[in-house]
Amino acid sequence: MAEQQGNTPPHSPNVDPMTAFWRDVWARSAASMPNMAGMPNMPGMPGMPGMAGIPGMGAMPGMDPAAAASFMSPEVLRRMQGAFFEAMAQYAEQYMRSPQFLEAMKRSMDQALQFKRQMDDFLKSNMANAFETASGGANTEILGAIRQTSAQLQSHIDSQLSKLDARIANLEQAAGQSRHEASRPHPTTSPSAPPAATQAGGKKASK
Amino acid sequence: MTQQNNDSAASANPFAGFVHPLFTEMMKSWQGEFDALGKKVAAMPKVAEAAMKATKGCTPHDVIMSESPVRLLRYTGKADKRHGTPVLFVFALVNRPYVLDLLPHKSVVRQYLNAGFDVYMIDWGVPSPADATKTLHDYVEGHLHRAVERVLADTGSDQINLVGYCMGGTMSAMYAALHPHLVRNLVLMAAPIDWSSRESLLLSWTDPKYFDVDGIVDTFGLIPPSFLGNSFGMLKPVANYFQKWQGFYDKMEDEKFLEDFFAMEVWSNDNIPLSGEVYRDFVKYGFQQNLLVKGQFPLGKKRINLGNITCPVLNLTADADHLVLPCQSTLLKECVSSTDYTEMSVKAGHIGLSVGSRAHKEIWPRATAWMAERSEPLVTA
Repeated sequence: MAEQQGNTPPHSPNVDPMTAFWRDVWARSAASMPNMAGMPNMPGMPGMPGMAGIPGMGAMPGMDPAAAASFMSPEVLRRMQGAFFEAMAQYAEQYMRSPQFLEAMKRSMDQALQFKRQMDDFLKSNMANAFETASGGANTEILGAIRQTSAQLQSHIDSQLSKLDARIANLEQAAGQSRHEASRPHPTTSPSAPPAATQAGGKKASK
Repeated sequence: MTQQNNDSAASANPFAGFVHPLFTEMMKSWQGEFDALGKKVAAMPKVAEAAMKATKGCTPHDVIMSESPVRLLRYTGKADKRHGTPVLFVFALVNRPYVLDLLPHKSVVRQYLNAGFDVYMIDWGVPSPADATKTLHDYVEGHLHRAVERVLADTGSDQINLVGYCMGGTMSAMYAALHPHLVRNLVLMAAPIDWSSRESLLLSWTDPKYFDVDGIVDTFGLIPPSFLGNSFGMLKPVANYFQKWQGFYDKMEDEKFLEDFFAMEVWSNDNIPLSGEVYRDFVKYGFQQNLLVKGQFPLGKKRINLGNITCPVLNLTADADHLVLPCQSTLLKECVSSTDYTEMSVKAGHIGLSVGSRAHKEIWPRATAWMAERSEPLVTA
């Protein structure tokens, strides 16, 4: 716990977390109650106010009863509660970041997963077979297999479609070219044109 | 003799003559509390009534596409349509999307309808064991892409305005990076983009040293809703499990408060399971390896490069968001190529961004105006 106390703690790192937490609650309570200023410190806890801030414990004989009752008013309790929640929220957050908590989380999660696996195996191998029925795990496996097959089919169809697209594009390109060539004005064959050119063109066309 | 005894008793007991007046004063100060308690008891029937009345969403809508369990909703509003580019809301996969349309006075959907947009929303539905192996690629390039195509066909528009919330924002950013020509404007609400900050508790919990995501996904298939719900709840245990109920007790006579409270309670307890493969992708490539900002996040056979995003971007964050810290969203500015990039922030929590009164006063009128300026005007025949 000492490691995670580096963030905020207004106390000595040697103090154990529980004591530190309650000291913090007291300090926050005191800070929220101005009429506690000047109260004597808690014996052995420098910086900590005495019992005056605790409902029912601040009233002393000889005080004005109205003033004494103000230590036990709903408002004081609300402030105490607020201080308690604030301190608890801060310490809970610190704790949930600590390696101790993370280790504990890991252990409990590993155990939960182990238990779930054992339970699933038991239900699948024993109960489902005994009752000749499908277990939840078996259903999931079947659904997974169907999904895998459908994904494979989908990807196969996609690849075939893209091949088809490529072919169509090639065909359209070729058709476009031939249309372009067809629409080009034919060179007028002059009687003086060499017969070799016509021959070559004829060969090309036959290819 | 008796007087003498009393005097000696008084000198022996310093509290004598003090306790009775003290008790009387205390009773005076507590009288208000007792009266309030009486009122709270009397309010119990109203509490029960409000709990029964809580609804899931408030704006009428049609379902225009269904791919079990995913549905595409088209909202119908009374305001005149003024913009040609439709709006599509993309919510996270871990909760139900009606938080964006929770109550008439807290509806982001209505904000856009009233601003004259065609409004659509993807409801991811409740995944069954058959969806356990669906990947993030299946959601983004499958369901989301088909929903976008359907919305474009429905409106006759060439482009869409995407509004993504939380994980839905991350998915929207991925989509905008893959199909930049289809996205006119991108609005992200508390969307995690960068997972490098160690301030977030979720990042501590998903540290690969302590968190075996493969073990969880391989064992459970579908990630149980209770697991996700409790994880989110435990981020602020005192606020979620104690102070919330303290606040409820304090205000339980107020009918308006009860309406809001139960609408929110119904939504926050309406958790749904999550596909294990999506969870694995998100935790591994996002939380643990932070690949999105590095341009390395794998989606199918592609890698997401946020630099492909060129459209105007509006990035909305909440100052007190403990689930997605503002710094996890704002790094987007460094990653996109958009020259038109705007950030807006509101003093609220993660959900307060969509349902908070402050957000509806301060952010949403500006956010809808931002989009209106950047959308195609409606062309009437």
